[in-house]
Amino acid sequence: MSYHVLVADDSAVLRAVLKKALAMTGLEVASVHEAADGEQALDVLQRERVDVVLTDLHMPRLSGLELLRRMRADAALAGTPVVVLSSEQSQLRVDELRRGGARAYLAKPFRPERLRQVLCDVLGVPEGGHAR
Amino acid sequence: MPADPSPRLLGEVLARTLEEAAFAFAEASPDLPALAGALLEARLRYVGRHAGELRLVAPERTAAALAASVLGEDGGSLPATIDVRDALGELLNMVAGAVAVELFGRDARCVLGLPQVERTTAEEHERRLGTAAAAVRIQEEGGGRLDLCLHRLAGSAA
Repeated sequence: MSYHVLVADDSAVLRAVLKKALAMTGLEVASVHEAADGEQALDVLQRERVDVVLTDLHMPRLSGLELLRRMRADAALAGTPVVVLSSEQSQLRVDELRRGGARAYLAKPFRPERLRQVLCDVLGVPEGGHAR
Repeated sequence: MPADPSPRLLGEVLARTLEEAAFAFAEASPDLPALAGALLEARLRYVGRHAGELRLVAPERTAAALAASVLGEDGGSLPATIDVRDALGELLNMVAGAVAVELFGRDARCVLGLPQVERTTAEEHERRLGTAAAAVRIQEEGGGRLDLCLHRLAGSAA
């Protein structure tokens, strides 16, 4: 199975890093959509098939946390897993994100191996499976 | 265990972040000469048990080389679509997250602001260094140098 990923981050650098890291995970990625903020992310989610969202926490217009809340409130989007990426590492923040519905949290900077672990866990893929 | 701001703390965090994010090995040294030429300054405010601002300052060519490393670009060249300021801001973002953990511990809340990146001059940077609560100067293996400074904000708790 191949996966459609949405990357939401106001940094073009981080979006590029994530795209490269996704290519290095060995998972079959059918498409990578990009959004520069939460509003754009919602637009993409309304138009495209997305199997998992990788979102930054702090973004202009609509934050990652608010994106999470809006997705949870939309029956069509509530089941789409969200992984939040952030440089904030406090346990309070991680707990807040989990309570908000984030399926996983990934601290920046991250290695592709860690991204793969998180995605395999979130997508229910065995870690040894779907290697290219 | 929470710690006070110190050059050692800043140096360790910056070196670790550069290694993890940009695969660049760096060392702090108080003997390095002052930064000169066209500089980029990334600033980011945080609020934890105290409020402060972190500043990451580097020559533009150093910032560009680090951005290329972050992106894994061979030859150190940066794609035209990538903004060097964006990359420096993201590096500071990562540094700030790690500094917050060192200062306040993992069980305390610290809110990070968004990084702001602008050009600055060596003179202005040296002037601001004089008000820093802690500062460190490092050189990465490619010869590029960066300064990381922490400034307490007025009215923040001790």
